[in-house]
Amino acid sequence: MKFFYSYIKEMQLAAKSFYFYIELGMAVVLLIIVLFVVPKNFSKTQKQFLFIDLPAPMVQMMVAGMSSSPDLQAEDVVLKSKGQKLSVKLFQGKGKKLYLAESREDLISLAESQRQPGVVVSLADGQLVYDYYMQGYESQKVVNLIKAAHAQGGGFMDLKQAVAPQIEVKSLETEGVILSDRENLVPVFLFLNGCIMGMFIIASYIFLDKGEGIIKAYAITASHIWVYLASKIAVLQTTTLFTSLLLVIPVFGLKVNYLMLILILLASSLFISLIGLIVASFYQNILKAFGILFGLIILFMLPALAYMIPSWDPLWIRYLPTYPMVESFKEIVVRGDMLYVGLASLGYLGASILLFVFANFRYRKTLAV
Amino acid sequence: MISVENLKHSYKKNSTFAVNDISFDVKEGEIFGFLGPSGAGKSTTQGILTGLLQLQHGKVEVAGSDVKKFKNKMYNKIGMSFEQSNVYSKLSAKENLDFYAKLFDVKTRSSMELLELVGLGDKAKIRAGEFSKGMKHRLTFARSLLNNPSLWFLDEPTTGLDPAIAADIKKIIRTENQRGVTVFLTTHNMQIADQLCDRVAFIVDGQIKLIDSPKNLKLQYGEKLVEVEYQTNDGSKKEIFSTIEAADKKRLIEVIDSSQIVTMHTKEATLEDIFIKVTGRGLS
Repeated sequence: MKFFYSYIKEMQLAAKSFYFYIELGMAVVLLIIVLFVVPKNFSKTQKQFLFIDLPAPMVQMMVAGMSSSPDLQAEDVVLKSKGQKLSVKLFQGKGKKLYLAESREDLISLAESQRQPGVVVSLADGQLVYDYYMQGYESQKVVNLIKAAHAQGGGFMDLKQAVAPQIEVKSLETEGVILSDRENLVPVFLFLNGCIMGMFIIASYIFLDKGEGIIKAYAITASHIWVYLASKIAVLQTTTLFTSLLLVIPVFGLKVNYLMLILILLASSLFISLIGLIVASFYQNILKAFGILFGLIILFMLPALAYMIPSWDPLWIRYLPTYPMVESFKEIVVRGDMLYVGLASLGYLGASILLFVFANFRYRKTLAV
Repeated sequence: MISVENLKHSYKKNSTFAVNDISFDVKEGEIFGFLGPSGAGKSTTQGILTGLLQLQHGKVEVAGSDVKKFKNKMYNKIGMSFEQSNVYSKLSAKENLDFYAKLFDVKTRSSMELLELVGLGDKAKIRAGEFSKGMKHRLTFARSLLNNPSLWFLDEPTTGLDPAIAADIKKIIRTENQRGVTVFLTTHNMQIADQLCDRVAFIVDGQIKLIDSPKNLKLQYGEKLVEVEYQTNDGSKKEIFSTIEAADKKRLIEVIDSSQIVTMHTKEATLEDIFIKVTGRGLS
């Protein structure tokens, strides 16, 4: 019963505190970002600018060829570039937009303002010459690829025809669920909101109590310090669950396994809040603890970074305690390996038991400090 | 009620002791004053007695239990009023008391009764954060009575209170003591110690210099003189008489019989005078 009373009192305090509204506000902001700012899928349409610096009959012939292509739709459009209105011809196909500029100057201006590559095709000594206007950040690999494409003198089309029959592309992952870009952000947001924020917020709650001398007063009652700590954790778990479901339900509806989601949310927030509690036990106020909290937040966020950049997934990052959290949230949203989620949850619960014993020891030892 | 033997405590766990080899007993039903300047070791001792600080050296028994083996149930018998008010500022006065009442296993006093007792009855629904320092202090004081403690630790109970409220607090302490509550009073206010305590201990630099009743200390260290100011035909006159010398006693009776007395003071020493005399140190 004492735990229940403490929990109710902590909920009352949380509802009257600034930090509770930070967490709630952050969840709402993330939800707004996911639903209204991030498009369901980011546009993958490639833009290119082209100027054909060839004799007029050749240009007319090429434009006529492109206009008659069933894969391309031609349209005259006006683009704004550096305060000027430039007339261009747009050829739009699946996943690409090709803009035909009227002069080399127009092409350079458009390539600069739209931050897209531009190509000028001209004639010299009876040979076609390609001048590429790049943005400057392209890797040497891209430059080499362009050079290779022209090595035979035939351009990309010849290269494609030359190698296509010998190349077979196979996917290693054939059963994966393709997430929309919106859905893809949810695991990271769950991780940031539920876990990383949780560590900071529980430490803040403790520092508020330390500032008011509350822990000492609690210690001189017939209740246990572990009850005090457990009620703090329970409050954090409640808010984490609430704000996480606030994020997941509007995006996924009934598509995810909510039982496993709740399990991993409770286990991971328990684990991370205990780390927050232990850190807070070593410091007197949030200013003194800020350095270590900030360092831990950065370190613990690295798995989220690895999730966002699939090509960056070094082995060492898997040893960070937050790695299984991000992976579990990912498995939840892709309706993947629930055994992994279950094992990760068990792992967090097991580690939390040890951390809780240590946190209880720390708080009993530092009551009068 | 409290037994302390050879208590030592070092915060740095080296040979610098905040409390250095002190021993004393507090009898059941007495008000024991623990007096000393800031940094003397009063709060450290109280921290150990209440289990807030871990015992390092020595033997300490509180209400029949070794503090090393303190069980939480023990706190059903103990009340503690802290020098620094420590209440939930976001909860009202009543909510504060109601919450803490639920943390004890014994019958607790009504929160409203306690708020009335300390003069906060009409502030029950106001958030503690909006209270003045003195009001918070009274709320902390009221909280310490929730569980009807048989051993009551009071740390500077009248600090920051105006004289009228301080007088009320002293009255409450006396009343509780008359009901059988043992009081361990930590203070640097010699006046309150003098008025309330059955015995006092002087602690300086972590060591107890003296333990006795204020009355005995005054008898031992005070001067047995009476200063009398009386009216004569030439105006007022001041004379000092020994209360031991026969001639002085006779003369004093004559003055009282024949003159109009303006003022008359015994020249007994105050506790503060005795503290300075014994320890060679002031209280600030």
